[in-house]
Formats: sequence, structure tokens, C-alpha cells
Amino acid sequence: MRERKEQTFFEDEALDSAVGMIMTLAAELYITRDRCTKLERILADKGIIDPAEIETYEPAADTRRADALDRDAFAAALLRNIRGKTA
Amino acid sequence: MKQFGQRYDAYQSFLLGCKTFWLNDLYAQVKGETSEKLGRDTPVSVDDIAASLKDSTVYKYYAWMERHLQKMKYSGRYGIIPSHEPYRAELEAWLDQPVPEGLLSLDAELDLPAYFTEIDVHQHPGGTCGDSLAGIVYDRGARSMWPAASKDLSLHERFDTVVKGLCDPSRIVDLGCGFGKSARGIYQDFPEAAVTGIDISAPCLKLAARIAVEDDAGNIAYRQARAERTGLETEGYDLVTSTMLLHEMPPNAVRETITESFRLLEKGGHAIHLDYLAGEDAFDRFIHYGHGKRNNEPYMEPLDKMDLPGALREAGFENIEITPFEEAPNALSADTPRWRLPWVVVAARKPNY
Ligand SMILES: C[S@@+](CC[C@H](N)C(=O)[O-])C[C@H]1O[C@@H](n2cnc3c(N)ncnc32)[C@H](O)[C@@H]1O
Repeated sequence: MRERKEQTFFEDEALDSAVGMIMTLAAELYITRDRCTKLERILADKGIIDPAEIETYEPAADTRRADALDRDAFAAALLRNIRGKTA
Repeated sequence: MKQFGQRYDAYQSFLLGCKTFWLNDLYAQVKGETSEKLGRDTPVSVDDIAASLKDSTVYKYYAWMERHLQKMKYSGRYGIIPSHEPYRAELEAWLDQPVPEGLLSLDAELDLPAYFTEIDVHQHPGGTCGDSLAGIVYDRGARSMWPAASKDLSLHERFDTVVKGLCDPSRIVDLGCGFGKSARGIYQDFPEAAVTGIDISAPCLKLAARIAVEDDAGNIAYRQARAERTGLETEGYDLVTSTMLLHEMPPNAVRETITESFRLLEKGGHAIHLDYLAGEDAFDRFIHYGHGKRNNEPYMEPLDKMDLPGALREAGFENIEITPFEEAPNALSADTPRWRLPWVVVAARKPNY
């Protein structure tokens, strides 16, 4: 495949590639969302879950703590990029 | 058609959703910004419009999306190209099956024009000739090119209806027939006619021939050749068509193709081409030329700017008519602004004398 320089549309080329990354992530997100919906439907059709239960689901205290830690780690990994530091 | 799974489908469907937003909302906003800046009634040029949008953020996003949504369709993790790779051997074997005598004639020695091989046309990596699976990839890409036309073959049926209004052909040449989408419409819509499909792309023609075998079609022959020099019989045909071919050629090749069509036609024969011409409106031209640049279709602008009726007249044609073509129901009368390709039918006739 021949590789050429990609066209750019913003003043700063960095924005062109950042939009590319956002779109790639959005596509992955949509794929995951689509899969989740299908999974929920299949589970509901088989009577394994009641979809309403997902909305009212209350995790136990230790599960909730684990979820919170996971969330914090996710946010930190995402946002450490804007610190502009080497470590 | 191969199924690539739910993730592939969801990805392509996401892109189609983005494209729908692009062609309705982003397009309308760019158009709105332009008329706000320039005033609705002032006659303006393509350059005036370019200058007025130079600092428009929405236009930058419009341009980015136009290019990259198409690129994402082909490339990336769930793109059409990588998704075919695991099935390469199987698909190549399917394409290489023998076909009935006379259905397909390929020319391994054919000199492919540089204007064609040098670009990855409509951002198809490697172009529509570059790889043995290029025809299959192109077929898949064409199905999801534009939301309005998705999974819809009726564009070619609509063209055939226009053709039927102009003539009743019995020997037809379809130039630049690709993987046979246009030729297939023709051999089905004109079952009594003998149809010859010409294209330079062997991978596309092989797919076209497979489809004809599955259709059990008896009135089609595919031949690998350049539209400018088909090698077909002089005055052997009463209709020469092309759909979406002319804008893929530089003006010189368009002129040669017109001359070649004239040679192929018997007296009184018709040449009918479906292609894109942006018309008079400066905004339409600005959008169309930009599309050509961003989608790797560099000859759209030169085709629009060349004197096509003049070239037809010079070759000897008469009754030259260029008419807007409605590619989908109400496409020409839609009252909300929406991006579309400026389809036209270019029809001409070889004199009867
Ligand atoms: C946009 S496709 C259209 C295919 C088909 N007519 C359809 O309606 O789907 C253009 C086709 O023209 C072919 N082509 C480009 N230049 C050509 C030439 N000089 N001679 C013959 N075919 C050419 C390409 O290989 C491609 O298949």
C-alpha cells in the first residue's frame, strides 16, 4: 500500500489527528454499546435477567468500593495526559 | 456476501450515522454560514465562498468528516479492507472459478493509464485495480457509500428508465462497468439486447462475471479494455452508456472516450452517460470541487469545467442534452438543504446520415 501524507483541515495538524482518535474511540464505544444492548436483549429473552433490574441494581458495599477505585483509576489514566509531565 | 460479524456491522453503521449527520446538519450549517456572510442574492464565485469559509470551524469539521468518514470505512480495525484479509484465499478461489466461454475476456498486457493507477480513487487503498480483492471491496464500499443509496440498486434502474425513454437498443456497450452494477441493470432491464461491459479493472470484471454466472445471464460479455480504445467493432452498437466513468478521467481521456463512442455507434445510435456536473451555482461548485479533492476524485473539477457539449459536437454528435438526474425519489425537490452529488444525464446522438 502506498503511504502518502494525509490531508489536514485545521491550523494545527495535532487537532486533525486528535479528532481521528476521538472518532476511533467513538466507533469503539458505539460497538460496545451495540454489543451490550444485544447481550441484554438475549439475556432478557432467555429470562435470565429482567432489564428493569439493571436500572435498580444496588451493588453491595465492597463491590461499590471496588467500582469506585476502578473509576478513579480510569479517570486518572485518562487525565494524566493533560499534566504535561514526563511521569 | 461475507458476513464479518456484529462488531463490523456496528462500526459501519456508526459511520453511516455520522455521515447522515454530516450530509444533513453539517452541510446545512456550512451553507447557512455562507449565505449569511455573502448574502443570498449576490452573485459570488467559488473563490469568494472559499475565502468566506476560511476561518469557519464548522467548515473545517465538515471537510475533516467528509474525508475521514470515507477513509474509516475502508481502513482501521473494522474497515472493509482488513476485514476481508482472513478470507483472502477463499475469496480469490471463488473469483478464479472458470466462467462460461465468452463471458469474460481479460487482457494481462493492458496498459493501465497513470491517471488511474496514481490515485487511490475515492480513497479505496490501492484503488479499484490494485489488488485481487479490489472488486469485492469496491462492491462492499459502494453499498454503504451514501445513506440515501445504501443497499439500494435503484439508481441504475432509474438510469435505465431514462435510457428507455430515449431509445430501444439491441446492442449496448457499457463503458467503465466496474463490478457490473451498471451493466447488470442493463442486461436485466434490456433482456433482448446483447450487452458488452468494458472496464480496465480485472478484479472488478472477475466479480462482475461471477455475478452474471449466478444470475444465469445470457446477454452479457465483459472485456478488459480502456474506454478510450475498446477494440470493439466499428458501428457495431446502437447504444453506448457509462455511469460514473467520465469524472474518473482527465479531460483528454474524456475526449478520446467520446470519439471512441462515436466510432462504436451505428448511424442514429445513442451515447448516454450518467455523471456529475455541478451546474451554475457557486456554492454547489465549491462543495463539489472540495468533495473531489477530499475524496481523491481529482478529475471531478476538470470534468465540470470542460466544455462537454463542445467535445461531443466536435466528435460529430448532435441532439446533445444535459439533464439533471434524480438519483433517489424527490432528490431534486427536497426543500431542506442536504449534500448530494450533482447527477446529470448527458445524452447525444450520432447523426442518421
Ligand atoms: C465509479 S466506477 C463506476 C462503475 C459502474 N459503472 C457503476 O455504475 O457502478 C468507475 C469505473 O470506471 C473504471 N475506469 C476508470 N477509467 C477507465 C478507463 N479509462 N477505461 C475503462 N474503465 C475505466 C474503473 O475501473 C471503475 O470500475
